[in-house]
Amino acid sequence: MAHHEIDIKKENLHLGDLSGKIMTAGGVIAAIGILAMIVLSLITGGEKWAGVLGFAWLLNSTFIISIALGGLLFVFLQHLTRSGWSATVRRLAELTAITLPILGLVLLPVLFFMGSIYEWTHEREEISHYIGIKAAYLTTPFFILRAIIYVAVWSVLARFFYKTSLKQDQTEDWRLTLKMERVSPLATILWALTASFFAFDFIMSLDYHWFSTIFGVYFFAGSFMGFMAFLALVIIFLKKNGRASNVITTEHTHDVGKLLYTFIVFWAYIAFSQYMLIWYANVPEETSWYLRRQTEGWTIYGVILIFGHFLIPFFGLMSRWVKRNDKALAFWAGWMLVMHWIDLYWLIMPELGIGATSGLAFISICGAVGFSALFVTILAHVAKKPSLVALRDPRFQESLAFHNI
Amino acid sequence: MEEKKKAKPAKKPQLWGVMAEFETPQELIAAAEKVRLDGYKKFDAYTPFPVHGLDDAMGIRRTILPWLVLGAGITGCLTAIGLQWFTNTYDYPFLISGKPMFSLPANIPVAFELTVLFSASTAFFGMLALNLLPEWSFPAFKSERFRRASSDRFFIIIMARDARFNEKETTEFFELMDPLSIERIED
Repeated sequence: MAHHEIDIKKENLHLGDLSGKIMTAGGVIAAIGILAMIVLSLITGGEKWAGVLGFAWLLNSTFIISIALGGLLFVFLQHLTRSGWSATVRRLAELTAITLPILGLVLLPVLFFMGSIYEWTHEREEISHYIGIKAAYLTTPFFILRAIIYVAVWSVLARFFYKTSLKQDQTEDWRLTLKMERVSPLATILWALTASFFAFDFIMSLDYHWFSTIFGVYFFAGSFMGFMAFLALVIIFLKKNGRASNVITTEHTHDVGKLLYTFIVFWAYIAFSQYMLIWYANVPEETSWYLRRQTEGWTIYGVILIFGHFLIPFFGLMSRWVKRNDKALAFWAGWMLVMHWIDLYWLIMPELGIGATSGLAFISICGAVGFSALFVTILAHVAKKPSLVALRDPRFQESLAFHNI
Repeated sequence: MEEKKKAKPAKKPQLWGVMAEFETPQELIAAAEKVRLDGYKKFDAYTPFPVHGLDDAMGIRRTILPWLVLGAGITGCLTAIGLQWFTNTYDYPFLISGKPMFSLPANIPVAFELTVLFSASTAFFGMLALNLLPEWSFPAFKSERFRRASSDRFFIIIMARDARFNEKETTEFFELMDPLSIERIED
């Protein structure tokens, strides 16, 4: 069988000089994009410039953090399920996740602009009158403390799995895999808690009247979907540039495509579950959140999500050959990343209260380009030296021989 | 009455196919490829576990099952929406908690369930039907050797109903591949 005869020694498994090129281009685009976002917010924001800038910053930092968070969970899940197929692509997820300590710093301006972003920071009387118990939870010091805890937990976990996996590259010690497998259940639970509360705090509390217990799951569904799309793009980019091109096979991209597809459906399931209960119960304090998103020009975003985030890719990515064709998979992965961003836009921006203006959309898109470039730059920086595949993973041979039936 | 008691003559066993036994999956794949290239159509391979590359060697085309499942899924979805519209809006209009008589959000859970139900049953029963299962008896089960098809041996049987089949020639053809054994199978 041909796929057993890959000569690993001849494979280029390092980013090498490509890293510098990506960082140069990425750095320039990031600087232009983020600068444009800041300047345009200052010029067009008027009195609400701090709010516009804060919201745009929150949206785009959440976007890149959600993808890195998806990568972190992907690493846990491979160890949790003792997956053999993923041994060739797991390092890419580890590298994506190890950007989290740096991405935590990207959140700092959000804390700085808190007063302009979160109404609950100043409407103290209102908040204790309507929803007393939340007043104790939504306080500025406690919010900052929680933000530090989330980023700290992610950083420690990302570092542990990354460092242990790198150590295995050197020592070939299979017991390191067992060590990671033992930590993975606790890591997954910690991920679920921190990611949910991150979503509650940073996104859901924008409208402090509103609450949805499924909101954390919704954020998880979108984040994991976003990461699978990102991973597909990274793999296809690396293969195009002759990195690990025989190690990561069509079988692996096929499986990445399957997980991407799964989470497109899962996202829709969760999004609908949230919507249907609120629609059916029709309680004003719950429906107000959807009402805002069905007026003032926001309706179109909801329609884009129903079709673009679910129905169109549901049929577009359904077929087997689409997932096994690099170009087709790259198209849908790019499409889904855009949709993931629009999803976050739809969650965050209506709370700014200036309606769905095209200026706001343009500022946010400048930010999206800048932050995405920043994310890729950071990733290219951390991925410069280490091997792009976990070559000494005990399941590496199993992964090479993996074949979809 | 006496002549009626005469026992029916037992059906004369007929040649059903010729079976070759191999020791490794690699030999089996090589053999399957030769059988296919020689022009045989009605033959099958039997292995204790899934062997990667065997489908290609045998020239098996991809199944149409996914298309059947897609059709069933769409049918299930439309059935559910149609049923809910007919019962709740047309045949017996009934107002529930002030919602519209016909409204998609309320109908989606049932539509989802029926889509899954129709798709899953089609996948399961369609798989059985396309594999011509259940099959109550199988001629090769009479062979002692064939029992090892479920533990550690690999078999190819060329069926007698194949247009190219000729007992002598097919046996000689197998002999060239140097199998562990060759056996004629009767039904």
